[in-house]
Amino acid sequence: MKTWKILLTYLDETPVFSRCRNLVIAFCLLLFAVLPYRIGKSDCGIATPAHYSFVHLDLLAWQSDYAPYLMGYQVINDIYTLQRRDAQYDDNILEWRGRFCDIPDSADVAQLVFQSSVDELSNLRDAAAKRKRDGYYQLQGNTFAQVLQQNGCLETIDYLVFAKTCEKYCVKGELWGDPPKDAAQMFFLINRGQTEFKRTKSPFLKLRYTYQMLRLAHYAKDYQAVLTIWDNMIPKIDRIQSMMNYWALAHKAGALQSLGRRAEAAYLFAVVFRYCPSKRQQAFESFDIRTEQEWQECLNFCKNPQERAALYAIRASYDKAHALDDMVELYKLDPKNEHLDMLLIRETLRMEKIMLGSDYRAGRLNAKTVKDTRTYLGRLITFSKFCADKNIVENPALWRTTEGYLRLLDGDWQMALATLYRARKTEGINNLIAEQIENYVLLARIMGLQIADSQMDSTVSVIKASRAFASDADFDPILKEKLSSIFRQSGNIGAAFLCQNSLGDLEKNPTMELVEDLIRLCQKQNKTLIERELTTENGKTIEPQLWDLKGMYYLSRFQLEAATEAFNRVPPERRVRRYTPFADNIKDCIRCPSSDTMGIMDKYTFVKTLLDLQYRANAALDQAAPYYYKLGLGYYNMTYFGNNSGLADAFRDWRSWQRINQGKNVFPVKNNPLGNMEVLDCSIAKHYFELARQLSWNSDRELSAKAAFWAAKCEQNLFFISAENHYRTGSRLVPDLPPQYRTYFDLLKNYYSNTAFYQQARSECKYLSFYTVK
Amino acid sequence: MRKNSLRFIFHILLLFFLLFTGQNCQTKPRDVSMAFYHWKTTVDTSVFQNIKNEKIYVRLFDVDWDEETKSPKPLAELPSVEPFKNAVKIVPVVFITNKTFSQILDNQIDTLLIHVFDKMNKNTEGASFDEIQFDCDWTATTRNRYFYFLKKVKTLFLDKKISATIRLHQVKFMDKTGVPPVDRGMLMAYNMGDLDDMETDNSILNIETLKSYLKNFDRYPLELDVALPIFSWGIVFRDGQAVKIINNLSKKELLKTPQYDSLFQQNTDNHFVLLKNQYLKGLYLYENDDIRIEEVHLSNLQLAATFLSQHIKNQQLTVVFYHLDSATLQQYRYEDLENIAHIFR
Repeated sequence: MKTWKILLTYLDETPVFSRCRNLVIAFCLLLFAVLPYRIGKSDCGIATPAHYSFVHLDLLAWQSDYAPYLMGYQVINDIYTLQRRDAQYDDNILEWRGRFCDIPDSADVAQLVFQSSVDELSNLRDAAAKRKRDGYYQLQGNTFAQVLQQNGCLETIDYLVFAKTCEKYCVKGELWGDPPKDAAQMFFLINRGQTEFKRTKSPFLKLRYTYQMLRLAHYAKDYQAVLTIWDNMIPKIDRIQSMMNYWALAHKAGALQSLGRRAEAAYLFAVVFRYCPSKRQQAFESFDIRTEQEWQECLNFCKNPQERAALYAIRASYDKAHALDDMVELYKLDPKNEHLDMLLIRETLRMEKIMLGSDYRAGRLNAKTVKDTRTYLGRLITFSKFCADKNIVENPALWRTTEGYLRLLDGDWQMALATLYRARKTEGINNLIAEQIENYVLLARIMGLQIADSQMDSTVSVIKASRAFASDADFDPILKEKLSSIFRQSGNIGAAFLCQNSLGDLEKNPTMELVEDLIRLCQKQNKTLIERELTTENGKTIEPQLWDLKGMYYLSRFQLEAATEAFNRVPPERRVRRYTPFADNIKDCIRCPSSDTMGIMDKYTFVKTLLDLQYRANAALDQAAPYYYKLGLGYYNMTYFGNNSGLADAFRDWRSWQRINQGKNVFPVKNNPLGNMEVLDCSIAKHYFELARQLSWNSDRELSAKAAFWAAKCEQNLFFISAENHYRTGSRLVPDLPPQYRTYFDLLKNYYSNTAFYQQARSECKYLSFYTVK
Repeated sequence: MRKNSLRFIFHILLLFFLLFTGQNCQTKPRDVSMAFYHWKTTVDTSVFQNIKNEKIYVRLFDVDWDEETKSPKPLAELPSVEPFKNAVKIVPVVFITNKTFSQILDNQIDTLLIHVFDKMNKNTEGASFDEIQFDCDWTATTRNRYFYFLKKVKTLFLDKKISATIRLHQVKFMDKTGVPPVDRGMLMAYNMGDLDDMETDNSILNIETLKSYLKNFDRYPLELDVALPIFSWGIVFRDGQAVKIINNLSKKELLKTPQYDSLFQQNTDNHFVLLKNQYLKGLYLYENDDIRIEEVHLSNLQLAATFLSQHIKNQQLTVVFYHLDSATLQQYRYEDLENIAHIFR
């Protein structure tokens, strides 16, 4: 929802898109409709957010000019970015337009004030002096220039010329250039400004001249001069409403700060912050109190409780502040202060970030932080309740609602529910808060889930069907997390796993405890609705997949009897017949079609065949060479390196190549707590190939050569998984095998070079070709 | 008999050889000089009273990436090197953030170079120096751009020696991070721990961490000077995260705070928890904030110097203390710093 709102705001504010807003929205909707979108058990593991959030940012009234300061930029940065505008630029134009009854166009005002040159303005002045309607001047098409010319506004044009002359001394230079700092010229301009000030009748322009002079003195770093100009000029100007009052005041505050009068400066910055949106950011950033004494002095400068309240509001808004104590003071001074609500939400967001954060949920947060946060949370709850009870804050319903949510964060879902029900009945409740209450109530219901029974089934159904559930994307993962924790507590680790992960995640690294627990769950009579959902896929039980996983688990550990037992439990119609594990392709090719189209089999048959081959080989050792060779092929092809790795591993990740030399066979996978297992061990295959090689040494030189070649491949793979392997995967270079991993290549070269297989293998296998030449 | 005499002669010769070479090692101490870094934007000339006539590495300005203009910009400029001119020999230093080199386009590097060259010349006008230094915590991904920059710098400052700061990890993982194309390196033997981690005891200098980094010095091709820390600070942890750094905060100073007992509780040797909200060194801190004081004790400086001395090969070396500041210099006696430098002899 939040993203959608941001998108709409962006579309509205971007001229190119605003014209075709509806078209863009329609396109997006079409895109969503066309793209395959599915959330369910079969998806990969859930990316649990770093922290859950259920506070509607709309509650902040973030449209408020104060929001970025009081909430902290980090909270609403993404929203604020879309809204960001150059307030000084905009408000200046607004004031000029207002001065001329909104007749001139904004863009024309901007052009005249910010872009025109002194020459153009002088030219305009000449035209204005003549006041001829048809007289020519350079800015003729500009509506602001027209107004000035036709009304003979010479004072205004003179001021604009003066401001333009001052400008180059008061703006930042190029990034690497130095701003012109010609103090003599700057003071010459200040003197000229004083003359113009006297000559000018308009208080509006007198104020602007004063601002220009203050600015020049400030940038010339003559801070005493700033104060002198202020004292000499400001009392002589009739009080008018203008943002320039605050722009000028900000310069006085800056000068005071530079002179070390920090408390007085901070007080003035607080005034600017409070009344002048266009200088609010600078005032907020410049507000700088460094000691308790300065703070007290600053408070003493305040003329009324509201001004003091503003100081507390600013301090409470410091980055990463713990605002509660300042909020309490703020409340005492001005309970209806608009900042209070925002600070309350800011603190709630901060508490939420910790208490619903992944570190806290996973028990990773250090004990002191947990203790301190809980203490603070308790105090915040008390204060929220106090304000809601007293009913003199601007929005009591918000305070009651927040009290309820804070209680929920504190873990007391029952008290939270009671408070939220009370909040529902608060007078003057608006739709936003009503919606927020419903979300908090729903969260309290989720937190209140306790035991996996039929009662929970119906509660979860109601939760999932609610409007609030669909309104916030964080409900789904937090519900799953809660259900998972309930199952875990009751010892159902398989169900706990599937609540937050998919069967696909389990397939990547079948863990026996999880698989067996899930098989038990599949076989359980009278399953609850949630248990049924967890143990079915497309209406069919997942039990066969689980037996298949169990079989693969054993096969990956070369435990053939146990694997047979498990594969045998997969109903024949659910067994997949697509493996050709006894094909002896010279080149390892994972996705190439197998040459052995006759030997297609399922996993059960494969394991049975292996057992049978072992039996036959043991029964007649003198004829065992072909059996051992085939056994070698089977054991080789089911590994990560073979062409039938799917027999013992449901998910072969090509990226594992980068990590296979780390001495482990389970590698981390994003959003899967189990990781991904690969079958990397070729030592059993090598053992059988060696037996086959030796037994056929005299009787069948071709078979012996083949067995030696396959043993060489095993040995090479053993090098790949060793710590000695520094070979860059994907490299076009042939890996430089250390001698201890090259024994079979050497054997082939020295003893089998006269076999037909050797010649064939050399022509097909570049490695062999390389090693034998070397 | 003859065999025995030959063996005897051989042993005598060997003994002479060893004595001769050993004596050579002992009689040829390193040429070590002491220096300081000046890293502030204002110059407190009173610090010159605390030092002798040491060389000072003067940071002129920083360069950081400007998101608005998508180009590098100068920051935190020292207005003038005038106060240093007559007092001491200087080495101008420019710090460039790694972000600058991670963001900069290849075709912007030459422009940056010109800007830096112009600004350095302008800011050091009238001062004489024979070395300039660049400080950048470059990584494997930014090394090409940074090294290109350094190569070009050499072509502009033809009569100057160019040096660059080298972090410990850049020596240990020199194959990955490369060796900068400069005349000398300045090994920064500080800021070696994870400052943000609450479990870290001292991120400025930790002897065990230092030892773990002392690899590859035997094949590091640059001659190295050494920068050692003589500063302290407090890291403020709030809600389990490092949120602020209080510069120049020492345990001694904290313990001297008026009404210390009602304001702080010392939890461990260097962890202090605030008992109430308060201003401390210009910052407003909150109850339960945890301040980790990190200081560099003389004994650790001695150990660091001893270990580093064993790994650095070059005969000529400058030991630079970071940094020149009146508050910092109060924590150490000048003679102690001299003794630290002597360890490298």
